[in-house]
Amino acid sequence: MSMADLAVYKHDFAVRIAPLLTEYSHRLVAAQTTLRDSVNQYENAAAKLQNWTRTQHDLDMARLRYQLLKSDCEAARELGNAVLDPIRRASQYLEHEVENELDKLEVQARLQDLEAAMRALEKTLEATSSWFMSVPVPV
Amino acid sequence: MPDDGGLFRDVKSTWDDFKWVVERIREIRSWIGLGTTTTNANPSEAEQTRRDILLIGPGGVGKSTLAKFLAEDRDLLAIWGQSYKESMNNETFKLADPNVEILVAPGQHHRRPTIWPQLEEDLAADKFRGVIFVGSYGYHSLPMESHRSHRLYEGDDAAFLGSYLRENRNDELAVLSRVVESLKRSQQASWLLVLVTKQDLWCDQHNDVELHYRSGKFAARIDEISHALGQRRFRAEPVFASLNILNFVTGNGECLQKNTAGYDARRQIRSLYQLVKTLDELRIWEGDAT
Repeated sequence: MSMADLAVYKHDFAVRIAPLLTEYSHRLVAAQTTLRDSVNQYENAAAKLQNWTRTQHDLDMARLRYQLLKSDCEAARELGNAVLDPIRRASQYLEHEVENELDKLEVQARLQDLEAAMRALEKTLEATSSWFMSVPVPV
Repeated sequence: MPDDGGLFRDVKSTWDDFKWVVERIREIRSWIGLGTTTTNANPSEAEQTRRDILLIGPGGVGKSTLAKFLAEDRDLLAIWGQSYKESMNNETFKLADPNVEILVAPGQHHRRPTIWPQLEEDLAADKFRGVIFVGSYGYHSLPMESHRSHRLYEGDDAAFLGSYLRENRNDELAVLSRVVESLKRSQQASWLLVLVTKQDLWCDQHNDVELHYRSGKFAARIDEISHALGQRRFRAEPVFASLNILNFVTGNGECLQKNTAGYDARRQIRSLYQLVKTLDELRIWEGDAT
């Protein structure tokens, strides 16, 4: 690849990865919201089990919410792992490859958003996991 | 009949050094022995009195490798030869003493504006007992697929390596300058260990490397801390070592420089011996200084 072609490739890379980073940020934020909602819904369902009027339906719902919360945690963790590669690639681009100042600013801003979303999701996952350990399986 | 006595003595001496390194690292993992902290039954009180060790430097110099080497109870050989993966956030490594953790700051330029300002404030506020600054005479790992897409590459491998090393050495000085500015504002006794890694790549230029880190701009910046804090409250030590014996290769496996011929495991263990010995001396000094 000639130097001129390489410069074009580097600019194209910025143009294509920038929206991808934002897309991943949105997905991470959505996963965090889903996780919080899932915790709330499980807590509501579990609270009904404390009531003396509890029914078999309440118990089934609490079990269902418990399983859904578990799978939401798993999905968030998998999404977090999937985002690591694009983060590392964008980081290498910024650290070693980028030549154009505007490309640099664009990718940097979006990568910082993505990493902030990643940190927030990691903290939520960590808190949810430790809370989850203390929650008994509904029986 | 050949005399194997010399060889036997060499092997035994290397093995003794290796054993010494392993044993002394165990002691360092339980830092409390000679340190300044006391064990607190109350966790919140312990949190307030805790002073960690900050490991800082540009990306790709070996910070995480060093932290694993010091903190993780694994055989030294287990961390050798692992491929480079950049850290995205602050990483903490626990020592046996719950009052001391090693905090590794990510070194990439674009992470510095978001993560480093808080660390610098913490450093000035004496939340760290000491700093390990890691440099590597410019040999910062290149995880990218090929150096040919690097912004400094202009068609010639040797010229690229020269420009890359120069730029990275300047960056090392820029990082040290930020550390110096924060340390100058601290009140309690603290220490700075300047660790220059990847000795296997530059040991044939040892005099130049020593001059680079022991005198000139590097030493001048460190002297600023001594002037600001005084000799009793600050101590700095340089160490030259190799955490891994590896050729300087890109993520794609392209070799930019082979490691220096003759640099073997024995020399590496001697360098680690020096590193651990210096850390141990700093630990003892820390106890005496307070």
